Amino acid sequence: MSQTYLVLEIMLELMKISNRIVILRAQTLLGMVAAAMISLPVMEYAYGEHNIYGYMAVTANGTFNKIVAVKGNIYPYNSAMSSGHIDRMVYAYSYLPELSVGTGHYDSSTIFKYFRFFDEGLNDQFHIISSSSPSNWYTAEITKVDSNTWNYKINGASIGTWDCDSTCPPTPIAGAASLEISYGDANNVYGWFDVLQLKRENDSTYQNWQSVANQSKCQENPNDLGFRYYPTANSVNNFLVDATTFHECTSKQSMAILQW
Amino acid sequence: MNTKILFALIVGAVASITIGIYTLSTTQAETIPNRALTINQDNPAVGNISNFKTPRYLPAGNTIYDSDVQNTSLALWYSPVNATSTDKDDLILYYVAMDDGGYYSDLISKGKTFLEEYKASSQRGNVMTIFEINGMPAMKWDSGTKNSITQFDDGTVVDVEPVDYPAEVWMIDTKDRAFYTVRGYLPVEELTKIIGSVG
Repeated sequence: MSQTYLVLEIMLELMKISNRIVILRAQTLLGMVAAAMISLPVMEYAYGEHNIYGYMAVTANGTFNKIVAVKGNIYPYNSAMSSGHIDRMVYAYSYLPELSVGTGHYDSSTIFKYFRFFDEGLNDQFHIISSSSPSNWYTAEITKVDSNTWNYKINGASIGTWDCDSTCPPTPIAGAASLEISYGDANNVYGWFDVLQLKRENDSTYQNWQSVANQSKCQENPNDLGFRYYPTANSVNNFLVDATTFHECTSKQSMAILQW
Repeated sequence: MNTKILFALIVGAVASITIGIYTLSTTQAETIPNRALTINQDNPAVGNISNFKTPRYLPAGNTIYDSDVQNTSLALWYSPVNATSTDKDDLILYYVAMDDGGYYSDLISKGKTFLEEYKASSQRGNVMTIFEINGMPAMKWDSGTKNSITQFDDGTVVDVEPVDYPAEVWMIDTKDRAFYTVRGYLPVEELTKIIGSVG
């Protein structure tokens, strides 16, 4: 009996040593990961099933994590695609519950109009196409009116509102995107955006978003994609840029969390 | 010493060492991919990940891919180890929103009531299941398909396309004042294990 006990005791000790090694290893790994993550920039990224061309995603940093308005100029380039459609829009996004609101223009082989977009949770998502068409650079804007409502504007005029199912969640992410869903990689899909501005919860006026000068935009024509004339002397630099290789416009590029 | 004891000791030692070595060899080295370390060097995140609870369990073969740290929220994305590109089917999002004195404050205070309200107001509330994780109110649903509808202002429908949505689990911690979610194209049971391991 005592011999059996001794053997079990020894085995237990050996197991403890082994476990200690594993725990130490795990702690070291956790420490490495935590240290690395603390130094990470704030950024947004995407997944999905559509091709993305051009920029998407700007995240407000730090204490100002609630974006209540986003505005930008969009060039309504018609790529004369043979199938599918392209959305070019400014948008705001929330993680929890998921919420996407956006406005810009809808571009297909048969329809070329302003539109507004909303997508809330598991509800069906909607592209609501307006009657008028973009003809030049135009300003797309969405603003949070109150706790329940977003308002869509084109060139300063409202084109509609959208009420959340319950209360609209705060949107820490906003940006602009040119999205193509035809899977036609050969098509030239341009997403031209100009002077994207955001308003955070405590901002009384719009703040400029600053791009990153040395960043690759997209593969079609890097000089003409993304934000063309980003402010170089931005007085407020609290907005972040996603802009990693993850967003570059490879075929089947992912689209985040945004389920367009 | 008795031969039987010696034999037992040797077997025990070999077994323990084997288990230890196996465990170490199956633990992947965690590295943050370069793509997650770019841009915005002049604007470091002010949030601190140590302020948040994070999952202790991840499905095998996944590692941290990206993060978004704010003062009252944390998003972590996981993807397969050594992934060179990410697909929606690969990514797991973990997100926690702490009491922010506003929207999430109210929501957390409501607890299960909020989940019931959300389920009742959703078009697809029938696929949502309210349950408990470690005594905390939770809600889950499997991945599925919904409609992407394009229509004119007057309601004329132009196009309807199916779009996927991922499986998801929500959990509300009314004691620590936090709202958690895990989202991804995994079995919802796996997501439940992830969010249940938060600590």
